[in-house]
Amino acid sequence: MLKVEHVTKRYGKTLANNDISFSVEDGQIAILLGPNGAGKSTIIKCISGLLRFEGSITLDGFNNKSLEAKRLLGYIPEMPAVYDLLTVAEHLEFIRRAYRMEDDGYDQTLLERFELWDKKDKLGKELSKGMQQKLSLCCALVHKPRVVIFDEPMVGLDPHAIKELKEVFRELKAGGASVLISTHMIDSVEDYWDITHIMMNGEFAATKQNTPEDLQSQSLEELFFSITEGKVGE
Amino acid sequence: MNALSYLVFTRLKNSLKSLIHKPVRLIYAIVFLVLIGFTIFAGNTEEVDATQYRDIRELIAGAMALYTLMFLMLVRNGFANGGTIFAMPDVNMVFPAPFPQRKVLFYGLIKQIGSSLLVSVFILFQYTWMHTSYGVTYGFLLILVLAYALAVFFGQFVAMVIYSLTSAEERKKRIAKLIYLVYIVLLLLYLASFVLKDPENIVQQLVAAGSSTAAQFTIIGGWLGMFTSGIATLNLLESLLGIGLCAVFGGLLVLIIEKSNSDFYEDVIKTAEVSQSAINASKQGVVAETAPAHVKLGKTGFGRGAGAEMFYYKHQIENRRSRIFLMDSISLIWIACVIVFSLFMRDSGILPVFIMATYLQLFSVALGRFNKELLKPYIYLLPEPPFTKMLYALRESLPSAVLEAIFMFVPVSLILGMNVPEMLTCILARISFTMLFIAGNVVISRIWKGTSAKAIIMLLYVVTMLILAAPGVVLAILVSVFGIFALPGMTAAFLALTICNILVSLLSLFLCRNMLQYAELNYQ
Repeated sequence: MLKVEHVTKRYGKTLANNDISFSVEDGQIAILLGPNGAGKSTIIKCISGLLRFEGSITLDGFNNKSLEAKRLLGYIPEMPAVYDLLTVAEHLEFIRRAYRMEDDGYDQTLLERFELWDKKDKLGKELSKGMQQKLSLCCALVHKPRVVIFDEPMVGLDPHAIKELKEVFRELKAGGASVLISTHMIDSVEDYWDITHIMMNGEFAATKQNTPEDLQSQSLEELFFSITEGKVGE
Repeated sequence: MNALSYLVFTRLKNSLKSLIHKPVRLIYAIVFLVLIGFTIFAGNTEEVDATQYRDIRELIAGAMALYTLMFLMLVRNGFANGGTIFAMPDVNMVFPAPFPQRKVLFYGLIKQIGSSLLVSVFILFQYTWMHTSYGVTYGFLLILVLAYALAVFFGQFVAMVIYSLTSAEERKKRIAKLIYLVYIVLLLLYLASFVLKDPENIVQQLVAAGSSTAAQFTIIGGWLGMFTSGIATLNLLESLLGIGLCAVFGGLLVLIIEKSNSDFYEDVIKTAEVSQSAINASKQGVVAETAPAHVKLGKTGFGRGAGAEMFYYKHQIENRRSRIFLMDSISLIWIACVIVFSLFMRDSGILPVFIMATYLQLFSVALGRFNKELLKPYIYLLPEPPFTKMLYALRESLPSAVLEAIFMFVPVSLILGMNVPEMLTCILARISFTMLFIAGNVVISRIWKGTSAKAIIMLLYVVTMLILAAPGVVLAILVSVFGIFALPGMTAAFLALTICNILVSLLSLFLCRNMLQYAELNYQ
């Protein structure tokens, strides 16, 4: 379970996140939806332990800076994080060994799912942007994390990879993982989400549950545009 | 004023104006001028009897070797991407504009002379020792600077010509490479023929080789040597002959570019793009990977390791694939410099040689792949203690440091007639300085990462390194002065230096370990 409590993040005088609190339960998929510059990536990076912040973030009760929390976390950055001089297969072996995991063949399974197995001996620098993004995804999943954070995961992916990724979301949910996905593309989140937080100016502007009652009054898209185009309360 | 002249002068004017708008640059310019002034003052206050000056031919031969080395190193770019005479704005704006190509070429060359002069200013700081050892005046020092700038300029220009002539055909490129290598081998054989005549007096023989007529007629290096030698000995004809040969050579290169390939634009675009992507990467805080164009994969897979040590094994694989072996060419050059320096210092003992070697080391120690690692998320995400991650991510630098220390100080010890304990502790002290400077680099990254002005960073770098080195130096002095340990020669001092440096290094790294807790600390 991921728990974010009263997190505030400032870059100098700029307030990027203002007193944000939310949680993602086990087996839940939460979406952070918002326009560019809303503060989605900042809160994602705070959760991943890359940024300093005020407030508290815990993963299964462990402070997100602790080694226990790091073991539970999988983070897929917005820009693919690939080493130029390692082969595709070496990336996964590197991460698996660095996390002290046994070789159970899961790296091969992941590479096959994302159509990278035939490119296992290709260097990171030889991959296209989309392939690098797929490799970055595999690297974040190979140690079987319990809390998985995706920052704009669909950008640059081909239709097959998008389909496969959505399947991965569902599997993670079924396996009891807490999944947090940041995106500005409403279409991409479709129906697999449980809860969506719409962000504006570093704050949560609205929260919507994926229940028939909640969606009856207003669709996610309608709610999003009513907030981002300044029609809240009208 | 035509458009190209306007461009040159406006860029010059704007760079001067930026001194006012960016106070950091102004401060840097002032500090630079003060340091130059101080160097002149320090050099002139020391009264030296003119009869005590060393033979000026030694200096000319050394300068000639430096010019030749720079020229040949830059020419080598001609086999890869060509010279860097033009930048991306030139490619996008000047090339498509309706200018005759010859004018564009001259515009590029003039711009290049300016850049070459800028990289030559470091010679100005050498005034003190040149003045006290060889009686060099400031006017003559400016001639040495000019000659160095010309060597850099011609190196870039020849690289561009070679690329232009050979890039389209692999066979031509191979022939050019062969000529280049044969030329270097001939130069080395020529030097060896002198040294072998009298191996006991290597320095004198090298000076004799450098002063010989044949050496003075070697391309660029020799001609510039002739030019400077003529001025030093007031032989106007010799000087004019040297600079005249350079001018004729330059004219010939222009002619070759014009006659052989009417469209040189295509040949320089690749280099301009490579330079631009390096500039962009630097602005975005990305450290470009210096991998060869065609990477030889070799053995794949790790097959060993767990936890933080994977960073070390990963660096080994990356170094193998980018063909970085235990020692790079720069290390070999530094080793050669220190060994040659020790030949001059035979009667002065190890101390000046060790100080010189450490001074050079200050500017040559790098963090290797550590800096690149900081820009990827994995080093922060990995569930291992930050201090352990830091040590493993830095470990790759150690084997090369050990090897470099051995290759440097075993020959130096033999030349200076040092005893074995002194040699061994000297090697250890050298390795400890590598560790200290690496730790210093980490401290700089941790504390001053947000400072974008390179000049200020450089100043902070030197100050930080001096502070970190101070405890070891003080301890070594105390041990020597008070003779605390009864060990031969400098052994006790080197040992004290080593222990203190290692402790300071580890303490510095430990105190900086939280830079691997937050990526934020390492992003600008």
